[in-house]
Amino acid sequence: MDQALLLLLDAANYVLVIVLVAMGLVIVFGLMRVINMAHGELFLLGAYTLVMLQQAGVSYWLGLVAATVFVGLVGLLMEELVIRHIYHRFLDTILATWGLSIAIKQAVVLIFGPGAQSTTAPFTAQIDLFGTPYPAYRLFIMGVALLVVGGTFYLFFRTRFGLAARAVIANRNTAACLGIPTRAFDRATFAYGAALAGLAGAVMAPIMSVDPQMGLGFLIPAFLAILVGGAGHLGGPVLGAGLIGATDSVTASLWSPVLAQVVVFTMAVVAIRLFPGGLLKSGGRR
Amino acid sequence: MMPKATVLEIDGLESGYGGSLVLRGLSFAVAEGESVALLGRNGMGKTTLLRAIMGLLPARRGEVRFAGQRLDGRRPEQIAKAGIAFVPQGREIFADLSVEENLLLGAMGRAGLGAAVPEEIYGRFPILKERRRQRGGTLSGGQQQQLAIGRALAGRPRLLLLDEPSEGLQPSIVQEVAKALRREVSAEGLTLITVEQNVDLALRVADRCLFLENGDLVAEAPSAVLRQNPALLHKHLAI
Repeated sequence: MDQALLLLLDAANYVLVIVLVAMGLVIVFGLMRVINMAHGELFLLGAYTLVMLQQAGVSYWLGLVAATVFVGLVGLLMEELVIRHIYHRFLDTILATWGLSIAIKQAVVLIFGPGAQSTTAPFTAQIDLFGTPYPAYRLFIMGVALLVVGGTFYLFFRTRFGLAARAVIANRNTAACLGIPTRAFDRATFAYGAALAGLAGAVMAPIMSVDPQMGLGFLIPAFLAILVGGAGHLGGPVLGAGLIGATDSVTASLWSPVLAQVVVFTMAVVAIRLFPGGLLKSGGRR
Repeated sequence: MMPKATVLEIDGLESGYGGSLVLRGLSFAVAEGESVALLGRNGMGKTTLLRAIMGLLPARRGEVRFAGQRLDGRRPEQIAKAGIAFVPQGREIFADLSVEENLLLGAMGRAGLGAAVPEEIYGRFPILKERRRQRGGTLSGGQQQQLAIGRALAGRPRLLLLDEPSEGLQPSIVQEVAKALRREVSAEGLTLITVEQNVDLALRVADRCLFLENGDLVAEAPSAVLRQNPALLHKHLAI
């Protein structure tokens, strides 16, 4: 029973971490049609910002907010300097953001060195869940992920801002002709996606080795989650992350991590073959 | 009738797509509260003219002045904020959004995120109130045209640009649309520029008709004159 519960918690934790990392990617890819290869580096910047601020004596909580805001600003800068010139040039967005990813990663290596940094969680207690002790910080991460998903859905589907952002995405010229400032919404949407990557990085930093490669391990499952679930709707990647994360962590703990990779990729290939537009294919998106 | 002040003035406007010039130094003026129809065969530059006024196409030369401001070179959202609304050909409603959200976007674009759908829009198009929770894409063609016009009016524009409002509509619906538009002009003082293939609708809605040929104005006449003298109409349209 304890084993089963622990397995379930670990699976849920992994799923939610992927969702947390994927959410920013999804907004930028699903809504703006930009594959942001530098998303992992934004995640990295979030983690390093937190580490740096904590080493300077700033509290974890302030560091978390600062990392989110800082990476959001980096996203704003990226959009203004690079991305806005290459919207609708699909391949160019991949190349340009890949270039940015290399530049950011090397800048981090130059400043902090290639070695790993570490930081501590603000609380290290174990919480007793039905007789099984579980790290409270992991529960906190799961809570943050749920908040991010809920908040993002709320922002895009329940607010005036979200309505206007969706209108800009659905038909740019028509939105502009109604007087909606399309550029402002491009900037805001991209910066929001980047800020989520920063938040994810900062939240994950205390339980990971913070090094220049840390973004990669989550970027691949995050992209897979988008491919499997479909990017046309914000719910698609959440579903995809659920499938991939659960399969991966259950297979890994029952058999082996290597088999888990094989199973996950096989599942992704089958899912993409059967549902090329993703499991939650959207209707009518252009 | 007192002559009203000019609200829109186009002066030597040149515009086009890529390397080709469609509008060749066109000039005309529209008075506040006037309804003008742009007539002409296909490919003569009518749609291009509306798109150039709206800022969707750059003006290569010439000026667009609206209510004393230069609009050429401005972006569509700035032009919309200045008080011009555009209902494009094919209507371009947001198919995935509800009727109410479509109207709300029209109001928000002009007045900011806090805006509400003006109640008079539902008064004018009761079917939109009935269907306000429905997705825009599920409406019939005539209802979509009402939605597109309602969405444009929700921003309370001074000037409305309409591209082929009768396209794909049954004759009875065309009559209804014509009546609604005429009412906006006479009762609300809206200034209207309509591009139309349907001469009947154009003559009902417009005070004055302008004829375009090869990207320039070749003639103009009051609608009343054209109604009594169809031969003139046929001559200008070369049909």
